[in-house]
Amino acid sequence: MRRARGLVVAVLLALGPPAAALNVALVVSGESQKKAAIERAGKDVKVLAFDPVRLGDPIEKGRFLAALQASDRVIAAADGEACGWLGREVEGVAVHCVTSYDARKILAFARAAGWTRIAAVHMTGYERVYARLSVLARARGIALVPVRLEGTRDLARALPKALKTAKAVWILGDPRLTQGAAFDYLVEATVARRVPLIAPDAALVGRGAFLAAESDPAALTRHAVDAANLAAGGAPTAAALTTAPGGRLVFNRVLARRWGVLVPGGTP
Amino acid sequence: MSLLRRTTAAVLLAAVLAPAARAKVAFTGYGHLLMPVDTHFKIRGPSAPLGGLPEGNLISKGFRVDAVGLFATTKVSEDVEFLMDLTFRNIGNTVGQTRIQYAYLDAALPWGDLKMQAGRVNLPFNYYNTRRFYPFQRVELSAPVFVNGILGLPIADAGAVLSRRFELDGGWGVDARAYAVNGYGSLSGSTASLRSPSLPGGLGLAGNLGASNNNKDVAVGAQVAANRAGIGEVGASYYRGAWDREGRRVLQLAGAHALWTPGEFDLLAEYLHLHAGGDEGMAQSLGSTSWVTHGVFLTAAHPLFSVGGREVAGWGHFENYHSRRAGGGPGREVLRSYSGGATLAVNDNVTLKAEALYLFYAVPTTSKAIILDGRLIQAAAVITF
Repeated sequence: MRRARGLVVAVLLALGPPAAALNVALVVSGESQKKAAIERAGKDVKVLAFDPVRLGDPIEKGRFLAALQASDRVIAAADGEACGWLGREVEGVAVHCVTSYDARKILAFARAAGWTRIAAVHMTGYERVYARLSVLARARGIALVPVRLEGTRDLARALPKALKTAKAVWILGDPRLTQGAAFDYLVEATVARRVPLIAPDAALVGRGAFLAAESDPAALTRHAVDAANLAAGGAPTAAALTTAPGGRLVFNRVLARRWGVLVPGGTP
Repeated sequence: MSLLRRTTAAVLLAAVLAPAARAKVAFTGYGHLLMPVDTHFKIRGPSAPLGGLPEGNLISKGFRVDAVGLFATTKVSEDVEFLMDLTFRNIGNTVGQTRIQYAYLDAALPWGDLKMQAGRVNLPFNYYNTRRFYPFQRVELSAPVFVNGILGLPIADAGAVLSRRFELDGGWGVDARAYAVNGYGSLSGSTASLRSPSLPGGLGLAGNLGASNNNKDVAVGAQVAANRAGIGEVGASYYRGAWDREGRRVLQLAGAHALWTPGEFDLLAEYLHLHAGGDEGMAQSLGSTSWVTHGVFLTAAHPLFSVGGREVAGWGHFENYHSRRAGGGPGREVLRSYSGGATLAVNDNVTLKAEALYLFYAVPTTSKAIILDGRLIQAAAVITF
């Protein structure tokens, strides 16, 4: 009888008090990143590892989705595949992908290539990211022109106008812009006008973007945990989404050769 | 009221009391479509135990939807999940079977890193039962014939499983699990038989797991397994429970498993020892009411080549099981099976499989033996969503 009471108490303790006002799920890529993130994360941040092999099992996928959908907000420190998956599968919870690449490297290359006017395509919520990048760009003599979208349907109206004057287009990062028809349209429109497309994830270079900064996984995780801790404290998520140092630039060398753009490492 | 029942009731009560505002349910699932291209079996035996099946050759081909399963998962609270699997099987114009394969609360307990599952749970017995049962979890098409067809997979029953993981150096860990469930009961319509040599139904134990316990005994068991990612797992499992109404006749299962996964190679071997006491159903076949089964299966898989950037994996499977009276005797139940095939994951959600299987099964009866001998060539598609 005493054992039974003990188990009852244990289960009730496990259920715990009602959930806090803001629970944040932080998605990282791989178990090593998960361990690093757990050490840095606050108590209201639940860290989950994105593993595409495990998510091929519908039982594991269901558990993963249930954990994400029980959160108030999802922040992902993961690659484009993970961000695309989260954007498709998670319903009813805002998903933010952290774009922790070194913007200074991109801007240094843009200046050397003579891209003095860059259209910064971003969704509402990324204003702070744009503001920070804009300051960095201005210091290098580059005008970062905002192309702010309420939804992806605004793209067809706003992009052609921006392409008339822009030397390059920069996607500041959002799953809605980096997958499906929206990204395909961005690639087709920019390639047709020979305007380089700067993507927030290196994997997108293989899908038609001209340039991307590949993240340093450790820096990305640190940055995402800080963003998640701030979000759990009630800060607007976009306030925490900035760029961080580390990583390297990845180029679409086929486009570089066709367009005659000199890139580090040469063209095929 | 038993400890098991109190614990289960407590967990269910706790689930009801938990905040419901976050209880969003995630639905996922799978479909398993089968196409037996060439089924050719020779059946011999006395007419009564064959249960209406004609003696002679059984030849068929066709299509069927073997199973469609829906998994529902929800977070009841921060450390408690509820999971269930509703599976429809043998689907034609109507559904042959509707099964709740599992439905349990999975809770992280506040002390000792303990976890508990309570409800209708999959028993942690060997490896296949909990981690290879579903077609999307395994490379091969058919599950091992003896454990699937006679022992009955998945072994799921009402009760609770308590588990804990111990982390060791070098990436190794040991998972320890203990459980208490209602356990196997007697054959439907009988109080003195655990199995009987009759087709269909009597040979298998799957139907002996009922909705409630048939005696005052609670079946218990445990599993210990050491594992490391990239190498595999070794483990041992045990089950013990009385199966008759008086709680005197005991069924014991002991198992050992080894999974070896270096690189892309995957090898799983499972040993099963089954000891049944007081079973009058198999007494005339095996010469005693106390009988034992020994057997092993081995499955090996490895990628063979690529098609359109997707790997085609080949696999082979062998199994051999014998049942006889405890202490030895002339009557023997024998099951041998060999199979091989290939599997292609077309994309993240669709997998195609093809298989050729040979099966020999024999069990003595009061007159002459039932013998099933033949081959099966089949293809399948597994769809996950």
